[in-house]
This record gives sequence, C-alpha cells and structure tokens, in this order.
Amino acid sequence: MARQTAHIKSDGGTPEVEIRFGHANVGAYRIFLWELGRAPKQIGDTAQARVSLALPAKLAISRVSYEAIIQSPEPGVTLPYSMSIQIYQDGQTVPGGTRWERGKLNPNGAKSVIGFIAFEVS
Amino acid sequence: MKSALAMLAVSPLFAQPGLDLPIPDSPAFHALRLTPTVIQPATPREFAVSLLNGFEENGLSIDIAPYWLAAGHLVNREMYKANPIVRLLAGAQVSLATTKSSQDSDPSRLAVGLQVRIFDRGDARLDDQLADCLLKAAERVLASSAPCREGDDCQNEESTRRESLLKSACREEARARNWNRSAWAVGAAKDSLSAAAWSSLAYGFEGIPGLASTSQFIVQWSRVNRQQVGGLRLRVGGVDTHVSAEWIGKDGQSQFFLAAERKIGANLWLEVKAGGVNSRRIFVLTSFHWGLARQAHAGKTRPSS
Repeated sequence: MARQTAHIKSDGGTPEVEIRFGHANVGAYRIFLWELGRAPKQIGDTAQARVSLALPAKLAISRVSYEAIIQSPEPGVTLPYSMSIQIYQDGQTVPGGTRWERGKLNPNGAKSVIGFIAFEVS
Repeated sequence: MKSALAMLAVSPLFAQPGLDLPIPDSPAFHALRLTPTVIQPATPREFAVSLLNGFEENGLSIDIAPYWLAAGHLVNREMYKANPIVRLLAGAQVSLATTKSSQDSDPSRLAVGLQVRIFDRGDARLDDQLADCLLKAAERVLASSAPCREGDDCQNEESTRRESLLKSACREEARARNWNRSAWAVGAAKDSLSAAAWSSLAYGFEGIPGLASTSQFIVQWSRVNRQQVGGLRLRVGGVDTHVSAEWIGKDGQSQFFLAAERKIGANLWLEVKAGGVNSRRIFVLTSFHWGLARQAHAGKTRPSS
C-alpha cells in the first residue's frame, strides 16, 4: 500500500491535494481525513480539481487517504496507467508531497489504487 | 529467399480475394512473416527488461509507442483531447523484430516498422460519452465501498474486490458508436531484403443522417518494393455485421467483390464473399477469419476492423 510523508509548515495555509491521471485514462477518486479516534470523513472527490485538507495543526495528528479507480477508454490488456498525487501549501508543492503510481491495468482495463499520506509539521 | 515484405500487404489481398487490412498490428513481424508473442512494454522499466531478455534469447520481438512509453504519464485526458500533436505522437508505433535462423546458411534478419495514426475520430480516448460512463461506474464502486483502513490489506484484497465490481458495458457501447469513424493511418517497414509502405484512409460519413452510424468508405494503398496495390471498400451495417463492396487494383488488373461479414466470436468472423475479375470469372468464397484484438496502447487503432 502506498504511503507518503509530506512536510508542511505550521504557519502556512491549508494544504491541498491534487490527483491527476496520465495516459489519457479516466480516473475517479475520493479523499478521506482520518482524525485520531474519529470515524473517517470524506473531504473531497473527483469533482474537485484540488481538495483542501485541514489546517496544519490538525494534519499533524491525522492521516489522509486517497482511493482511486483508473480505467482506460481503450479495451485491451497490458495497458499502462499512471497517477500523480501532489500536496500543495500556499500554492507550492511541499517536500515529500509528490508521489507517482505507475504500472499496468488489469486485464479488464482497470486499477484500484489506495494510499495514505502522513504529515510532518515544522 | 522470397521477400518477406511481400507478406505485408500484397499477399493478403490476393491470396484471400478481397481487401484485407493491409495495415498490420505489428509491422515488423509481418515483414518477417512471424507471429510471435509481441512484447508491448507499458513502462520504461519493462522496456529495458524486454530488451535484455530479447537479446538473450533467439530473437527480439517488440512493439512500442515511444512517446507514450516515455511521456504518457504526463498526458491527462484533457491534454490528449486538446492537443492533436500529442495524439499524433501517442499514435506513433515502432516495431522491431529479429530472428536467428537455425541454419547457418540462412542469416539472421532484422525488420523495423513504423506506423503513425494521423487522425482517428473513433479514438476511444476522445469519446466523452465513454469517459462519463466509465467515471460513473467507478464512482458507483467507490460509493459502495467503505474507506479502507491503513492497517488493512487495501492494495491487494480490497483493490481486487473493487476492480472485480467494475464490469460495465461502457466500452462495448463505445465500440458500437465508433466502429465506422473517419481515420487515417500510414506505415512503413523495412527488412534486409525489401521495403514497404501503406496508407489506409477511412471516411465515416460523420454528420450525414442515415450514413453516420451505418457506413464507412475506406481507401487503401500499399507499395512493396515497386509493386503497388490500391483498394476501395464501402461497408454498410453495424459493428458486428456488415456488407461491403470492394474494388482492388493491382498491375493494371481490377477485381470486384461483394461480401457479408458477421462476428461470431470474440475475434472470429464469418465471411461470405462473391467476386471476380470480369463477368466470366466469378467465384463465391466462404471463410472464417480471425481478427486481432485491439492492442495495448495508443497508436494501435486502425480505420477498419
């Protein structure tokens, strides 16, 4: 399972996440905020180009997860997929904030990707 | 040794009377008259591994779309739709094939092929209706699944379960919508003995009521060394059943055909064909033939199927 650690500033703005799908594939996703001791809360989905996460102080004790399904419009096997997950703060990509997922779709031309993001606040 | 490239286009045209897809899926392998398992790497790493493995074995057999392999991860669907240069690059396919003969007197052969899709209005990646259908199917699966917890086996068990729920008719519906769209592809191949080039241009009567969803007119041309073959084909019907009228010209001689074709299996077609050179030489031919499955990456689409 994919996991990345993004480094954000405590005095910066609310971080955002942007998910993009390469190889002209069709992708759907949803973003969850996992606060300690609470049920996960969906904070965004495909309809938003960038999803605002939470204030840095809250992210320091939380996790964010993304769940995506990628599909190729083309039928066929061994089709490539790619997906980027980028975390921004104040309009800039944060250190550790970029992650790529690449590979082959399954024989049905689809791929489910689930990953988690942890935050280090300085 | 008979020229390998004769196989590219001319032989299929006249060995089985009728216009028969002069644009092969993997040009270099047709040039070598081989039907190997073609490696189609999806990532640069796979490409490197394929090359190493290929050279260690008896031959190399590989198809790549160089731009898609190197930069496809940077191309989202919006960019692909908006930029015709990106589509042209994505549709350029290079094939490379080598064989090592078991007999010392028969030298190793190398064939290189290039195929470019100039445009393709049936390109599935341009189909907004298909994209919307796929998106909704994915959103339904996500909505029906509880969020995966960090300690769970999300990437294997849960992802596999979600992928298995994704069965939808979106692509089949798109195939029926787009089977006869206008498209143009050109290609060339060369091996150590000869060279060939071909072009296939299809017109799908877009915007013309009654014809836009039922008809396609195809102009095909090929040249192997100095021999040229031209053909015209009008197809009328639907995605899995159609009738066609064909003309083929070669060396100043014409052949005419009427054919009916029906898909009876995943890649199996039944064809009944009647035709001849003139009114005194008419034949009727019934045949089954295999159609190649649509391949793995951009650049594999063809005007006719």
